[in-house]
This record gives sequence, structure tokens and C-alpha cells, in this order.
Amino acid sequence: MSKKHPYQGLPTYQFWKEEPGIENPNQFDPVTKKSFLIDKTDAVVTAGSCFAQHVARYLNRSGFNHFIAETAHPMFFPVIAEKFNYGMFSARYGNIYTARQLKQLLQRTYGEFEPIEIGWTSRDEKSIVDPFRPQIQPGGFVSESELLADRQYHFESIRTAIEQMDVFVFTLGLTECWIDQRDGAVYPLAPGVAGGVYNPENVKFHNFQHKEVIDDLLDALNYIREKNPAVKFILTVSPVPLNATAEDRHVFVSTTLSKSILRIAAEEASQQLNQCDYFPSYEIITSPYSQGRYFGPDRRNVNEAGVAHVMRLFLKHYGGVATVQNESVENEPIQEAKTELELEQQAFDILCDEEAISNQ
Amino acid sequence: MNVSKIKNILIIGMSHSWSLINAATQNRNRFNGEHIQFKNEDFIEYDYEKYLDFQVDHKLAFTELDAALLSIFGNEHNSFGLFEKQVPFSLFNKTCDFNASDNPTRRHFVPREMLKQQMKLILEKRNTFLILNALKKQFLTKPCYFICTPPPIADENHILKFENYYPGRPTNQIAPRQLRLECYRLHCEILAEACDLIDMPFLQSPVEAADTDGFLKETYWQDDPIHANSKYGQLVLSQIERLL
Repeated sequence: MSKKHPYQGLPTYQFWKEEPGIENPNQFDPVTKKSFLIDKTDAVVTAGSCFAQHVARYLNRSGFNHFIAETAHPMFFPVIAEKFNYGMFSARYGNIYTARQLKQLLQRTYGEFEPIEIGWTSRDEKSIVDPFRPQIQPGGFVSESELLADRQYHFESIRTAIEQMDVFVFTLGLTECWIDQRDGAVYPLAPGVAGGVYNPENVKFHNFQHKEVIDDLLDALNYIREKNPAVKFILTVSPVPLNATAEDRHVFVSTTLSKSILRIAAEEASQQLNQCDYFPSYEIITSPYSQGRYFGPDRRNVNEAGVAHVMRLFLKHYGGVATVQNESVENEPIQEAKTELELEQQAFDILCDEEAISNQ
Repeated sequence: MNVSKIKNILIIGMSHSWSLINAATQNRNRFNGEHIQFKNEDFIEYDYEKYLDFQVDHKLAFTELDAALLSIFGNEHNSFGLFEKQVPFSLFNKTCDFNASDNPTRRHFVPREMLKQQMKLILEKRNTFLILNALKKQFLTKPCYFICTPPPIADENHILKFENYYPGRPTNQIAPRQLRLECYRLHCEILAEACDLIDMPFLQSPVEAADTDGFLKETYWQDDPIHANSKYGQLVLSQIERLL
């Protein structure tokens, strides 16, 4: 029997009004397809913008094998290792905001690209800062030589991670960046913000167009597959809005464009590559079903309830983990929510290079 | 400068203070030395402020004080740098660009600032900075100097002679000399910064006690792997004499 119309018989998730999240935001689940499962023994490598740190943190907690290739020397107290950003991601690369940054990191790791800039002088002029991870080392490096020695260990660790991982989870964060005109090197932060000297002759602002992001992302993922053909990918887009835009327009307008481009790039990559999924953390946090409850007091950072929702679905769909459902956020008393936010602040300090940007 | 008057000095310290105590004893014509000996455990077992109050008041009753010399918490660098760790590590020097280890490729690289923070945390856990503050309060009207711990001994053979000094440690695990020196410098840096914060003068190790590389000269070695002798103590007391 033929259909009355083409929507007849389609799954309920394709229809807005059928979404249980309308009544109970906590039940909102936009994950409808996946190409693979993550086994508890699978080595999972994480990278990307600040939001990726939450993914890493939950993987660490939930019994999955979050593969930490770059470890602190065992003599250090965990509190010191954390302070120096060991274990935040699989290697100490800090936030990787743009697809170009990921691509160049891979090229640098395998000796195919050597940027002109080695180290920047810190803002207090007492130490050396790594231009490609400017806030990774509290107090900076004592010399360029020390930075290079650390970088050598860092690159060895990344190579280990790339070649031994089973799953790579990458969170796309930004399209805006600063490019060194001399060699095309991309910096996560403009020189002068957390170190270095801003020289407009050498460093120019660039806002990647969607074609550039797609190309960079595909180049990076294909590069990884060359080194590790069996690796599976999960791509996400950070729901955290831009902290600042260098475009002459409102920061939220820039945010919308940036996130749209990243979402298209993730879609394109997931369609072109096998075993490459898009995971909708962006949608979980920003959808109207969530009623804006997943943003912190600054309306930018994602709160613990939002991260928990994202990761509950991530573990449910990819880990096959049947977790206890969180209580409905709809019924959460406001006072309790505030207290929880305060606790969150203490519970985890995430490294967000972008937050260093201000107009001061 | 008055060098003829005998100086009343109170030496407050742990193991490294013996070089000063012995030097003062050998120079009674120049120094009237009293001392208070502490061990790390003293600050764990007691309410350290009350304990310090009691000890210092007790000693001050004997004499009119010219200077208090603090020689405390001087061994932390040895816990990092004297013996090789199970995973050997390498460290960079602050001023020169050399890798402070023999063979960096087989070593776990450790950022200098990170090791500094770790050492600082250990000193904090031992109440070092609170104790410094408490002692500073004790001597508000009297000169009070923090005496830098003596430099490390470079000669491995000397260290190896004292295999029973650290029971259970295989004696073939002495760390490379440059690593030992750099851990020492880091330790001194932390203590000097802490003293600076409370306006307590930090007296650097006498220049003449060190060889050109910065290690303790043989003539100042004590009969053990890490301490300096009374000749070294005399150098420090001469520094003090010049300051008073």
C-alpha cells in the first residue's frame, strides 16, 4: 500500500512534537545513529576546544580507557600534575580550537612543518611561552631549550597516541584564528594575549570559511588514518559561544556563523569517512528543549548538568552504559541549582585559552 | 664594624646547623652560641607555634642576642636529586641552556617550574613557610638570618663511601651531578623567595666554599654524603660577623 505522504511511518525522532524533551528536558536524546561501539578496553584519545576537556574528564571517571600518552613523571603529586595540565587531554596540547590547528599539530608532530616562531616571551617577561599552547605551563619555561625538550616529549607522546588509539574524539571549537603570514602557522591565541608581541605585519586575523574548515578537517583525519588505518572518529562541535570575536560585529552573531561552519564541516567529514560519527553535544546543550538551563551564570560556559546530559548520552550510545537518569532539571529548585554551580566552579578548573582575551 | 665583642648567636636548625654549632664552639673567643635542634618530626608531633615559642623563649633567657641564625629544611633537594628515581628524570638549568642530566634521551623530561611547585608543596606540607613566619615574629627586634643550605658534593666516590647512610638504597643509584646541583639551586630559590616575602635576609652559601661548577669544595665536606663541616660553618659565621 502506498504512503499518503512521504512522512508517513517515519521514526518519531524526526518529528519535533514527538520529542519527550518537550515535557522533560532531561529525556531529550538526539542521537539516532552510530557506526560503532566503544569497548572499555578501547584506547580513546580526546582533543579539541575547552568543551573536549569535559569529555575527557567523564571518560576518566566512567571506567573507559581515556588514553593518556603524555604523563607527568610519577614522582609528582596528582595536584601538581593537574596544575601543569597533564591528563587533561591525551597529550599536553591544550585547546585545539580550529581544524587548521589540528592539521598543523599533526604535521609538526611528524616533522613535516616547523614554524618560524619557537617560543614567545611571557607577559611578565620572566619566562618563555609555547606559542602553540600558551597556557599549558604555569610559570612558563625557563628557556627556549627547555621548551624544545618539553616539545620533543610532547610530540613523542602525540605520535604514541595517534598510532595506538582506537577512537579519536575531536571537538571543533572556533573558526577565528591568528595566522603568521611568514609561514602560515596558526596560533590558538593572538600574540600579546598570553605572551609574545603582537606585530600586525607578521600576524593577521583570519576567519576560516566553511570550505577551508572542511578541507583542513578532512586532511587532518585522513592524515591520522594514514598513521592508524583502524581508528574510528567521533566529531563534536563545542556548544560554548565565542568569548570574543575579532570581526566587527556582535560576538553572538560571530558565534552563530562559526558554529554553523563547524557543524557543516563535521557533517561533511562524517559523510565522507567511514566510521566517523557526528555526536550532537552542541544540540543537546543549545536546543530549546534544554531551555537554556545548561549554561552557567556567564551564559557561556556549560554547567555540570549540561555536561552530565551530554556524557550520559555519549556513554549510553557508544559505551552501552545504562546510567541512572539524572533527575529532571525542570523540577530543580533554583537555589539548589545555584549551589551546584558554585560547587562546579571548584570541582573542575578547565583551561580555556580563549578566556584570556579581553579588550583591556 | 665591631669584631672584638663576642657575639651572642642563637642557632636554630636541623641537621645542617651542626656545622654552625661546631664552628661557634670552636670559636668561643668570637661567638657565644646557643642552639635549638629540630627534627622534621617535631613539627608534626607538636603545635609548632607553641613549640617554637617555648624553645626560643627558653634559650633567649640565657643571653642578650645579637643574631638568630635559621638553618632549617635544608635537605629537600636531596630527596629529589641525590639518588636516581625509579624513572630517571632530566631538568633544565635556569640560566644556561644545558640539560641537567647525562643522557636525556632515556630520561623523563620534567619542567623546572613543575619541580619547583612540587618541592614548594612538600615544604608547605611540612609547615616550612608558617614556621619561618613564626620565627620571624619571635625575632622582630633582633637580626634574624636564614642560612642557605650548603651546596651538594660532586664526588660520587665520596657519597658511595657512606653506603649505610641511607639504608636500603643501592649505592649505584647516585643521580648525575648536574641534576643534583640543579635540584639544590631550585630548593635555595624557593627558600630565598619565601624569606623575601617576610623580609628575612637569606644568606647565600659563601662563594669561597664552592668550586667553579658550584659544588661544595672537598675541604668543607663532612664525613657523610650531604653535610658540610665546621670549617664551612666558620665561613658562614664570618659572613654573619661582617653583617653585625
